[in-house]
Amino acid sequence: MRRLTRLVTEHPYWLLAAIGGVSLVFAAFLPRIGFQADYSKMLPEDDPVVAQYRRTRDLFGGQSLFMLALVVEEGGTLFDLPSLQKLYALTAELERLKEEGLAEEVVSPANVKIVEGREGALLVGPILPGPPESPADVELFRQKALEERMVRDNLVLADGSGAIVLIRLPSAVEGQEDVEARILGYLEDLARKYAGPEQIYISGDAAFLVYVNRYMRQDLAFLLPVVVAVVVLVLFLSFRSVWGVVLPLGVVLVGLVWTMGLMGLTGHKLTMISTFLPVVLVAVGSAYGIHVVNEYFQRIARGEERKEAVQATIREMVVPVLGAAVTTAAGFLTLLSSFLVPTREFGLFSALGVMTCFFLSILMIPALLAILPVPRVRPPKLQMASAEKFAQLLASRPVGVLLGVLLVLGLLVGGIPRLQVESDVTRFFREESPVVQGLRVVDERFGGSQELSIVIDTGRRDGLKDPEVLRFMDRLQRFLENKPDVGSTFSLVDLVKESYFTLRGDDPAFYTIPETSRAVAQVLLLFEMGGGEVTRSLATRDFRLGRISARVRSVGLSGYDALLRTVEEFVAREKPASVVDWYVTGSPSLYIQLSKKLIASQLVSLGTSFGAVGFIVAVLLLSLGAGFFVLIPLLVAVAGNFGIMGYAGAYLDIATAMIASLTVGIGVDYAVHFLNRYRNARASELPHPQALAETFRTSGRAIVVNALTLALGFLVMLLSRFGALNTFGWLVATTMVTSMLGALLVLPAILVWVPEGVYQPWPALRPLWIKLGLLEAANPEEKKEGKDETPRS
Amino acid sequence: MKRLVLSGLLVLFGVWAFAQTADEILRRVEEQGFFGTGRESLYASLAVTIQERGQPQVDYAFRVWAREFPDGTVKVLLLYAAPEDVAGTLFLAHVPKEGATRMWLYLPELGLVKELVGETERRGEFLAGSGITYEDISKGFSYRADYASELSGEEVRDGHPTWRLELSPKTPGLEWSRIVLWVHREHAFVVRAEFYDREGKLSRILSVPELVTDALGTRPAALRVEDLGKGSWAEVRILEREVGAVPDAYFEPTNLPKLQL
Repeated sequence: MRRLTRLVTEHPYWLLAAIGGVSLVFAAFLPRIGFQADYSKMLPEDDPVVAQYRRTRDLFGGQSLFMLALVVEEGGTLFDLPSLQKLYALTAELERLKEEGLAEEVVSPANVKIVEGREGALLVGPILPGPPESPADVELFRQKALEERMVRDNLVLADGSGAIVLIRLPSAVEGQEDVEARILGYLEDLARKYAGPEQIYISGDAAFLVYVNRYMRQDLAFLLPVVVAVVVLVLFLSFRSVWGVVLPLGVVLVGLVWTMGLMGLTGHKLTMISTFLPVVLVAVGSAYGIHVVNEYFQRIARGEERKEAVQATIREMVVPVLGAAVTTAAGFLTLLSSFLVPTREFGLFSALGVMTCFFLSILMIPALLAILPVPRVRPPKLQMASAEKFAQLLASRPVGVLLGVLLVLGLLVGGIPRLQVESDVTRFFREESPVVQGLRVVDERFGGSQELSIVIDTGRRDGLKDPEVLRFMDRLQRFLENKPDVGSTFSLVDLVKESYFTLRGDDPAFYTIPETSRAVAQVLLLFEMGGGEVTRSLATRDFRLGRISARVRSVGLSGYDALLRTVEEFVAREKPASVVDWYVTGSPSLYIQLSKKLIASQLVSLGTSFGAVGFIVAVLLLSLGAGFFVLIPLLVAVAGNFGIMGYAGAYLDIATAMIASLTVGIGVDYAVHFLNRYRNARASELPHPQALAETFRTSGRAIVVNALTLALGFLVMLLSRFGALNTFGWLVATTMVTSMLGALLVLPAILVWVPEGVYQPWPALRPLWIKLGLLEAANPEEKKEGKDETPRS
Repeated sequence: MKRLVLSGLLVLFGVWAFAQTADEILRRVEEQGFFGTGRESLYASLAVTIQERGQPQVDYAFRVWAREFPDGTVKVLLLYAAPEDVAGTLFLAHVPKEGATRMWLYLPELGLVKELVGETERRGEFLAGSGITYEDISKGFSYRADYASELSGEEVRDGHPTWRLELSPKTPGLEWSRIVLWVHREHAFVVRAEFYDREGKLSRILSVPELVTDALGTRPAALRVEDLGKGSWAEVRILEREVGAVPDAYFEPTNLPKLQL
């Protein structure tokens, strides 16, 4: 510690130059940071859900869709010449994506192949040979589209009010952010070109991912300056000093460059979770600087010399700030237990960022203070003059205070049973965003904006041609279509039935599966020879595996779970022995199942973070009791958080599940600062009321400023374009305030009954800590033992 | 599949003549057809293997009878020999010198003959996953209309003495920005072709792994098509071919259910 204080005060320029050099190196890697929104790439390779998804993608091609819905104006119809010509022109432009390898298939009413029989002949081809040129063509289109089971209410609405085009991405393109963004840009151009009087909506899971990326960029560019401005404002109001603003903020910005530079250097990308890492770091990291600057200003105000004040500030602040940083980092590091890669990355880099801010607070700020002129410290706006009165109240009426807190807490906890686990991709976005609008239209009118895949494995070559298997798939499709959240389904079954029906002269009795495997095989051959194609998305080339696609509405976790359960029950009941395996996959399935796992893992990591934080505090403060007592305000904050979520109707989802762990990591700082000050005051043999007053006077202001800075910093997320982050922002802000109140109300009220030995350092380790300069010697003997040459004030 | 029979095999069969200039060489290549000079009728047995990335290998086997009639109409009968579930299926095509082709399919399991009213133009692969497009099949190596050719040298390619032809598009917007052909100097087969996409990237390779000699002369044993973009390949192997009279009855749609082949 002595070396450290000497280094900072005697070689501040070298130290600052070194920090500047490292910052330049990290800054050089900032441009390398990209964005990542592909769910499957966020997951560990060996996750069974991902493995299933990737296997399906390899076997059946891309699983991601863009959807383009063309909806005619109120009272209009698609079945008129201009509107239908528009649909054909739009389809022709969309097919260019296929030619450029950007789409695996483009399915539109204008190009979908239907099976027709003509006087002993069979034709598989589009509804019209080309764009309609006359009202007669339009009428022919209307008749055929409405007769065709694969088109009516699937691609064209029966009332003529709209049509939809599906664009399936090639598997090679899926997850390539730049390519998907290019495709979406192209679709948006087309939507602008062809809109009016018809409206054109873009939807599909591929669109969601691009919108997520787009909003992430916009959020980062917009929210970071706002949160910086908020921090500047709070700091200025608190310290009323330029340096009081510049120093903590400087630490955070340099820390941010180091952390983000490290991300760029190691090839990590920003995800929807880590996008707000800079915002979190600015809010959290500024706290350490606040405490250091606050300590220095107080010492200057007491008339200490600059060098002495700087050295004493380092000594005084290193333990509480280290404690705060390590516990916060530990809170973030518990996210490493998550199986979700972005959460792990967020946890890791947040922890690194926090520790960077700690080191910079304890090195860079004192180094700058050592060379800057001594500031003229003005009395802060936020006075703690009432601190002593407050302390007296807490000291004299601890029971009343605790009862009051318990009453409020009890009310809040009453909201916990209302808390619901839910995960709905639409909640990522604000209701007015174009992606949600598109989703609503496609969900409500076209049967679903998401696509699920049900993969059937027969375990043998040509097994899919077995009529028993096809009949099972057929029953499963009909079962699904009867579910309110499922729109339409499609599989090889539809091609077989449609072709067989046509082959038998459109006799409705033959809209069925042929009796033998050979008959099925020959019907399919006829279909292909007639101009159709059994696409890769329906069956593997050897007809061992087949895929049923089901368009589903955005149902969220609970709806998806219910659907999956009923499908499982159906399959268990109906599956023939010739089907050896089956599973459900697809983008929504991937997202929902992952969310479910993530939420569960987050709740587990909450327990871990409590344990880890308590342990770290116990080690740093050399007291098991201290480790225990700092957790009490956190329990209040976390329980309050879940209760508030319950009352507010905020779901426990992929974002909000992280709040509890973050609260433990960040919120513990207040308790650590408070307890450290309090026990120092008690060690100086001050009685409880005076020790409380001293603690409030010295640390109370910094704790309040710290909590307000964080709360306001997180409230900035209300400006995010992600609905999920809006909720996340105000909830974290609330927990910052509740954990501060826990530290300033509950902890002091409890400490009145706690014997001093419970939270004071363990005597056996005191000499070592004093030797390291991490603990203040209580008497001259101890000072001598610890060889602490520079006594603390 | 039917296009394979109708015109694709021109790549695999035929007698080829010496030529000197690039255009002459290309013309000779284009002139080669399934039915070479003096061959009014022919029988062949073929096997096709398709391997797509991430997909199981698929095998087909066919027996083909073809005959050129005096009015210039070429009639082709194709019997599916494998896979087993379509074995016995017959495909019949009448290709007049001018006008539309007529096609029928006989499905033995259903006992039905159906005429296929095909689209006038087909795009995409003729056999799913093969990388061989309908355009390739229908045109063979007919590139003279769209591409300018240049004889860029003589070289030994895969052990064969060849002419090397460089083809470049006459007009922009064509599928290939560059095609390179290696034409056997003795037999005038294309033994290798490379196709470069619009970005100039090698996208597809056609190659002849081996030459064999049968009673009709020397011919490629197989044609292999590799789609480098998709990572798939297809191989068409000629197992047997012979010249001989094929009965008229083979080419009548109404006879299809009765034929004993």
